[in-house]
Amino acid sequence: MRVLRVVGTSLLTAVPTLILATFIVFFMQRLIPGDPAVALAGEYATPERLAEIRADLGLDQPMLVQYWDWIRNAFTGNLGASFLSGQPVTEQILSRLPLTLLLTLFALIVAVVIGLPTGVWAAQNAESRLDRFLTTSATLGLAMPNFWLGMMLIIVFSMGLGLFPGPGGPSLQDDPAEALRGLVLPAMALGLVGGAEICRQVRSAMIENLGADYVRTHRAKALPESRIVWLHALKNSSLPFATIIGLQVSRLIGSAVVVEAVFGLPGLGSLVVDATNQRDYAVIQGVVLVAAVVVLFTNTLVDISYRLLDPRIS
Amino acid sequence: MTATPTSSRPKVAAPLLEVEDLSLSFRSGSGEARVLHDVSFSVGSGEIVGLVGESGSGKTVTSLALAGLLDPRTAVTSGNATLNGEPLLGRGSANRSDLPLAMIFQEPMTALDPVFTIGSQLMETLTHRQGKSRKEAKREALVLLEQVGISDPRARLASYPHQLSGGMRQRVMIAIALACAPRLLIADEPTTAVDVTIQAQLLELIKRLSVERDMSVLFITHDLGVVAETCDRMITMYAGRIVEQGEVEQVLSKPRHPYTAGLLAALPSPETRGRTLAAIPGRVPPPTQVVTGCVFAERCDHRADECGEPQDLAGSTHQVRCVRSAELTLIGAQRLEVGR
Amino acid sequence: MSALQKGPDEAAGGERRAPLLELRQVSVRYPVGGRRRLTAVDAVDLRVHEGETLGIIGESGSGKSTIARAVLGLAPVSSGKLLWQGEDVSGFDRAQRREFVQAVQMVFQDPHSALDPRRTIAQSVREPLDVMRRGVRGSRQEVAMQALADVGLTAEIAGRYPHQLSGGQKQRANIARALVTRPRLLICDESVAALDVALQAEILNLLQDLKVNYQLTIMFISHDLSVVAHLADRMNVVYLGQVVEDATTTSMVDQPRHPYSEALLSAQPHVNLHEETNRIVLTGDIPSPLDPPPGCRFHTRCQHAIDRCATTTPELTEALPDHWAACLRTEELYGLTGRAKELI
Repeated sequence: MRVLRVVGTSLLTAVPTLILATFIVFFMQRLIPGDPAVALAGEYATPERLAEIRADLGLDQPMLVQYWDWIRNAFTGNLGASFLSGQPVTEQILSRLPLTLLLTLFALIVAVVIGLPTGVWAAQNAESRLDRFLTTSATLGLAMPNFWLGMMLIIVFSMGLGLFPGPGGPSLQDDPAEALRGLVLPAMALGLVGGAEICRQVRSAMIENLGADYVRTHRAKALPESRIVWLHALKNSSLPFATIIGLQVSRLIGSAVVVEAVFGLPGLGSLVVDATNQRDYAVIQGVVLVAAVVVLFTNTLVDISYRLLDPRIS
Repeated sequence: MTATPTSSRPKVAAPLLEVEDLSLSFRSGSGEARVLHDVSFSVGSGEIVGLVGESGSGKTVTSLALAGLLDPRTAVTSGNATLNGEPLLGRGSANRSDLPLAMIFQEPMTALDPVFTIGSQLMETLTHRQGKSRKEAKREALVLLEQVGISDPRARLASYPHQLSGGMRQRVMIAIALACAPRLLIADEPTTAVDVTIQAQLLELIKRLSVERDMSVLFITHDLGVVAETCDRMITMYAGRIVEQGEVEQVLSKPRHPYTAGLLAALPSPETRGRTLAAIPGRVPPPTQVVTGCVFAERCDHRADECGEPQDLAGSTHQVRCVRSAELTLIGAQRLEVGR
Repeated sequence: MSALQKGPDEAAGGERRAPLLELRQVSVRYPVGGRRRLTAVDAVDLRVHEGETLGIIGESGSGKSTIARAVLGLAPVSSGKLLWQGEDVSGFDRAQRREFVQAVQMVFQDPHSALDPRRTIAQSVREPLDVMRRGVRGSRQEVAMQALADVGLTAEIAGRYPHQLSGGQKQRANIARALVTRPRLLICDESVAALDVALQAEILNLLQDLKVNYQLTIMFISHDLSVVAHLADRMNVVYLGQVVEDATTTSMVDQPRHPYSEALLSAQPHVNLHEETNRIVLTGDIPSPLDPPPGCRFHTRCQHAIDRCATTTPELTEALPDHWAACLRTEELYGLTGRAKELI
């Protein structure tokens, strides 16, 4: 019941959020200097030719009309056609989305696998040498830019040790196994920073919980310490954990753009980078919509998890 | 409902808990603070013993030390404590699960795990402490909830702590404690945070369980009224030392230590209306201060030269740590016929 | 029911001046989400006479603190009247309002959180005067230092910060701060609840001294019967937002006329050992003030409740001379003259 209500309210708030996000991007991208018609026809095209192209693309219409046309079609799943290739945007996105989602998922797994246990260990041994080592490493991890980390990983593991393929591997459709192997290093580049953030958040939540009265009660009844830490204190720390996971997903999707470029991966990131360079408004607009949907979906999941994890939230 | 009078309880002398020369210091960056000084006492089987004192008396740290809840990184204990012959001190938290010992705390609001159901916290205790199967544990959990006076226990198993009142939560705490099959229950100010009519219910419950299960209780409280109505014997602590111990009736009616007498005289009541209460001037010396003689001397009205000498806890059943106690006539609680 | 309905001030017999503070049918309701409202104080009549100490005793959910907050204007009075020396407070002009605010001061429960950690004790104590811009700064300082001296704090302590003080010293400082405006009514809300017995005795003694020296009227709110009975001339017992009994302390302690007061008195643990007290242990929990029982609010826990109690709301009636109780069965249970109560 509670969960259904959350899903209902999320859907209701999602629609205006999506409209607002796409609306802002729609107008912002027109502020970028450059003209798609010029990009398409070349710098030496005649004014008549340019006007023709603009009319073709609907760019001669008032902006509100353009936006209205776009959003109307978007609701039916039609995100228009690329200005440059004429390919349907929906198709382009769908072919590249799996890779980006996989990359984000892998990165999230890396972040949790690194961040969660280190956070708990640091909290268990708060103020000890281990704790200081872990928190210092986490701070360092947070300070590292993704793309730099990505390049370092390529230099060491791909070019140096030859353990993983370097940039420009096969696509997911052609050779899934090799493509997945190619995702390992970019996932690490993305996930290490996230892991550092998770470690810090989990540490502070766990320190608070391990000092709480109910933990003293569990100790008084002589429960095994491992059960107290990994079951009771951890479940009590799950709200900040869920929150940070939600934030990480939005951040990872954003950073994926850069990391995909570094590793030459054919995901949404490289699609949107190319589209921006060529003022391909239709593609940019479509990618933004999809990214917003993914972020909103994650937030809904986080909201639902709050209610499942903490009975006090109604 | 009327109360069962305390005086009719059977008293068994065989000591269940024996504490000998328990001392405790806390290490910190700036040095050591000694909070317990050679604390020795015993609790007989089925006996309810009150451990009384103000903040800083050491009553709560005594209980935490016995329950193994002090952080070994900062707390340094010495001395001996045995429960039913088993040593209590210096064992890791790992092998405490077969000790017949349980503890309840002051704040029932925070002492229960907020994100687990009453049932799961209770059953988890039963499976871990008594090796029960899930099915047995569930059956036993219902019995325990019933025993502590929770109505509709089946429905309560699925409740979360925040769905219960303060009194109910403390009852659940007691049920969890009982799930440890304790022969000794350490109760640290269990009724301080609840209303007085609820306190009366809980005190009745603890007394009843003690009789029914032949369970001893070490009852930590600052409230002499609670001691008078609940305990068989009492121990007065001051600045980390036991200053007086004996049968509750004896100690309260004829206190032999000026501090116990001072606490009694400071109590307000309908009878003291319009009068000035006898306060105890001064403050408890900080744990870092080294005192050789009587630790209460600087606040004591009866101070004399001999109070500077080290003092022993003397006497047989009614013990007191005061060299002058034989010559002093101290006023205790009055034996009153209350006009009701 | 032969007893009189309680009318405005006919209780005392003979003409008496208007009470210093009077609450007439005061209710405080809070919205609690949806269309629900929490009635924290429900049509309470209360009078504090000049020079007396009025004790208000109740458990959690009784609304005893809300009564104090309503007097100070910190809780919304939804209906009813607040009278100061017989005059309706809501009709006060600026000057009267200012005078009223200075004349009613409060000492809170927690001595630690009531003082600003970044200000010295002297600054905190002077603050009410600074806010009201009374006199020049120098004279304000003088008044503050005098108040601190009156509560037994030295000039040296006045220069310290709260964390350098003991709990007892902090509560003394709080009392000093309440005194600087020369109040006529001092409201103490659980002011000794957080203190150890010895300190509690010191503060209670201090309040008694100050009452004489500052000619104070005191409204003392507490859950602790022994403290209230020690200090108060008159007691009001509140339960779920309503006054259930109002009597002089002696009369209340010796011959309670409401089953709840009786149970409350009997539940109070006592060091004075007496054989075989017939302790009344109430069953069940205090109902939530969000959903109070109909009729007599105490009927769900009352051992004497009959069907009528669940439907009829009892009024405060005079059960003994100047002793008022809100119980439908007072007369049946306790008799009119204080005969034995085993009439049931």
